Amino acid sequence: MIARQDWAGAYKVESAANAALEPIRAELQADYDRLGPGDIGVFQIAMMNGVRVK
Amino acid sequence: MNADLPLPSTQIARDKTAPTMRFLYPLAAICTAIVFLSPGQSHAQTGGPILRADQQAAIELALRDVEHAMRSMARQQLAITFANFNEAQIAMMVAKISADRAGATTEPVPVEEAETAATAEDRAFMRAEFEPVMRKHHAAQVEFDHFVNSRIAAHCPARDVYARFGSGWRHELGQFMMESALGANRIDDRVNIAGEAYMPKDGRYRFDFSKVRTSFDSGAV
Repeated sequence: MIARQDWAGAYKVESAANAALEPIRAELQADYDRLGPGDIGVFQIAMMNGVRVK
Repeated sequence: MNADLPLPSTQIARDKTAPTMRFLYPLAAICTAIVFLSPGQSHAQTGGPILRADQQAAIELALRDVEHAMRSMARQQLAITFANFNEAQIAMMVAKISADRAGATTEPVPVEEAETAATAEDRAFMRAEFEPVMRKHHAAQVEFDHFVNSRIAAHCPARDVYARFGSGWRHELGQFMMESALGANRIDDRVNIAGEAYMPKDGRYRFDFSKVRTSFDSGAV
């Protein structure tokens, strides 16, 4: 399709492939969040819930 | 023959002796309007509806919490509202107002804490708490980014692998996954900007960073 410069066809095929890959991406991202160190938001939560000592 | 017939527009002018009843109809309409639009028994011209004793007592009870300057206006509004309530409804309303007042008097008055600002020592104390953890966390993030990005690159083609070029055009497939960029910020900036922003400004605090993950299991990833 690309060689024929069939851009409309290439766009449709790529969109269909992306839709099929989306569940795999979501699962991978969930694993990243579960197994990785996470983002900086955890600091914000911890520092919002500090205990005042003075 | 046509000369004896008067023109229609001249008939009224010639018939001067006919009774002028048509002037009576507007007069009757005006009198009717005056009767219906004049104030009735329940609406005096000086203000609101005539109220029963219980309605007036309820209004006075409700006005106790209203500022003096607003009472006149509030009284008129309450009179219009309360005029539609019967005795049972007024009694229920008075009971509710009385109960609310009784409850309000028994509630403890909240004590407002005096506002204090964190001193330089307080900020240094809190920074000493979060900075080491934040640096460890950032180091783990950078390590994680490098690890997963290298694994993804090893197994999934980058966008240039299947790209095609032509004369003035280029078509490339999107990447399977965006690169992980958890530790993309410089750690010094993170400590100075995010850390300082998250830090409380009204005193000295201790934080619980037990949920911060400073490492990860590469085998599990």
